[in-house]
Amino acid sequence: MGEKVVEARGVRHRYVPGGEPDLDGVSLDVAPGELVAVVGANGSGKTTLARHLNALVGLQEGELRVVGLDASDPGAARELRRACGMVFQNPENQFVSTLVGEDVAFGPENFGASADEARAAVADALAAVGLPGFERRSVLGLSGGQQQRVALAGVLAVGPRLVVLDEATSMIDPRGRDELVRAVLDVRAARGSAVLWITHDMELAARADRVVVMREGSIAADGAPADVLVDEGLLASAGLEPPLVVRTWLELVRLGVASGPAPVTVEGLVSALCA
Amino acid sequence: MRVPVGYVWADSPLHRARAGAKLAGLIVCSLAAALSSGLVLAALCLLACALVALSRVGWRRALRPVWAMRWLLLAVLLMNALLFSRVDAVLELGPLALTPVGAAQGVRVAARVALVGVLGALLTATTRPQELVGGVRSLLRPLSALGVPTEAAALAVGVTLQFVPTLLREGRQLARAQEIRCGHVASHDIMRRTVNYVRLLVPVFVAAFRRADELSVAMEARGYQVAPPCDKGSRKGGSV
Amino acid sequence: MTLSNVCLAFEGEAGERIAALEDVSLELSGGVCGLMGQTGSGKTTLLEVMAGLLPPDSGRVLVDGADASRGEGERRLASSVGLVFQIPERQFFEATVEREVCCGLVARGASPGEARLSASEALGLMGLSLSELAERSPFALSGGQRRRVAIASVLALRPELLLLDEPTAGLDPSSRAACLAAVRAAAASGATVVMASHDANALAAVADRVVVLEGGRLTLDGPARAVLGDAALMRAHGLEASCAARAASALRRAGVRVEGAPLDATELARAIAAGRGRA
Repeated sequence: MGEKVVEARGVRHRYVPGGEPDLDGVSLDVAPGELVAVVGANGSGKTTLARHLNALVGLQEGELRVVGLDASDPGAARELRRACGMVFQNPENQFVSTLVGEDVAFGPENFGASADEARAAVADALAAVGLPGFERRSVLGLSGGQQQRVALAGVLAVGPRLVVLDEATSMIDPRGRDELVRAVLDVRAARGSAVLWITHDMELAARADRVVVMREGSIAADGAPADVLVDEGLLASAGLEPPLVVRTWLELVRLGVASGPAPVTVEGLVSALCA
Repeated sequence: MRVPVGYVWADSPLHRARAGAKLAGLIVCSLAAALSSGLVLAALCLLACALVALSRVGWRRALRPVWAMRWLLLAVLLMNALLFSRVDAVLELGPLALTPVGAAQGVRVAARVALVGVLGALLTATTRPQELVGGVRSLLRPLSALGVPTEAAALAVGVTLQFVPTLLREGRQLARAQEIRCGHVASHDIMRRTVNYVRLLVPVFVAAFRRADELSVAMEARGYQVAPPCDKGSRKGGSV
Repeated sequence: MTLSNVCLAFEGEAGERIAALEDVSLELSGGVCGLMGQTGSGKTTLLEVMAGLLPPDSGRVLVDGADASRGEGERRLASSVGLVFQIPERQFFEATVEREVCCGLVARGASPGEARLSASEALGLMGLSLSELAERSPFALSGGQRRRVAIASVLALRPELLLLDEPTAGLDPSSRAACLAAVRAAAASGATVVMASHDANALAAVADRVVVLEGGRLTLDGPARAVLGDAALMRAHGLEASCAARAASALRRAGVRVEGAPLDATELARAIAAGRGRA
């Protein structure tokens, strides 16, 4: 398929001039429709990287193209934000209105949609996240999972080609997390949007197409979950540990019961042990 | 536990009225209440009652601020009744003197505060937050000629309104956390109490700023600009 | 601490009564008790009742046999309870880490030397060092450090009853591990710990016992292994079991023998190996 959704080359960034870099030469490609998980300890640069993608953080050094737009061009910021939507960690702090319909319409209206266009986009987006007809509900009365799906709808209503989720599941309960994961996977299947998912949840990372491990501002590993998530030493150096299935498999290997490459998902473990 | 500050979904002439008109009405009524007394004040109270009945938000809901302020109102009433004057005292006890003039003054002040509370509750109950923002915008419009960023001001009002319940909840939890850690906030010792309240203010402000900061990033990410370059006409409040 | 038939209701939007806790009876004595339940099931309310912050509408809270709502019992509770709220780092108000952690101790009349010693111990439990952090601003620390300092400021009071509300939520793996180690250490030093959490994996690592709240009622109370290790039971109560329990149940469905109720990766591997040995 045509152009990359994200093309980053040697992106370097310092919040404090002359201080330690928060991003230290990051190069990353994301293809259309791809689901990429970004994992790493707090302070490893995940959020700074994500905020580069929709021009919330200005590019200082290196090259960055998002859906073909040059991030170093300040004039492209608006288009970048239209192409790349972001869902944040705390659902309460990203709503501009207490009414679901008005909040979801905020993005389309900012990008110049007419009232009718906005209304249609809102209805579509809410249906896509499994909350059809929620326009007149108050966001304050929704569960954490529903709030995050409203936030996702607010992003989808603009029609982005890349959705970035910045630890969007860390403040909600397991049921809410499952709802959001399902909504994101459905949206990706239906609209073909690429997804960049920043998370501490290694079980979630195991379900991605690709896993990017960040360590001290640079990318320590970038590859398929089956290659990256089985490397105990690498993950430990980034302050992480492999998913439970991998740890179980490595223990089975030590016990002499299993051999061969470790599976990363429960389904993989089942088929490896049944074989 | 929860403080219901917000819209009541109903249909009434008050719900349909323009937000700007309602906002202007609230300001005029509040000024009138502050300046008037006697019959005019009584008439304003009757007007407020009529508006509550008209609005269909329910008496319980409309009178909630009065209930929430009951101790304040009672204190205002008593302090005026006992301290306002010494003329024609019905009862005297040291520096305190219960006088008809004082009692009347107490009723007036309490009625003014309650009136503004009820009208304010009525405004937020019959006006969707986004409409309210539109109302603020239309009232401020004359100022934009003077270079005041009215758009940003209107949005700020809306966002602040929306944060009120959350901040109240957080404030309550902070007081509890501090009670556990450092003893009761309303301690007997006045110095201690002052220190405790100041301690409470630090995290409250930090929380408010953090919220404001996170929200401004989220709004920017969704394409909001304080001064949109060309498509200014496209954004109008209350489109859904 | 003993709770008997505790009920508590709040007033809803339309003035209706919403039951938050219904007839909750619970006896706590030592160890780590996990408190699970969906959002809105009353976990936080129950912790606040235990901490003496919310008086129950009916029912009693007893501390060492004394009623915690008045006199001796109230004093005993106030001096022996520590509550760590959700996202406790939002409650910082001091300019330095040392003053933040010492604040409660000083308010309770400890001398500066004693306070410093207790603060240093509490930070040590959380894997942090007072000498390194003493003069830093608590607001300038990393997310994981902030959480650990906030928990240490409660641990420093050496509560006999330590209540924690979602202490691991939003932490990265290393901060999470330090936090769980501190919970274990607090219990080992004799404190009774109640930890409310959605995270079955975290509870599997620390809890001796797990109770489940559903709509304000206690619907399940048992040893941690019997509850967290049983994926079907957890699902029946609307909860997510630990990863190990879910993997074990998936393996069993596929016909793989898994012995016992494993709670972590090592146990799961041993349980699979034991099953292979039998087969």
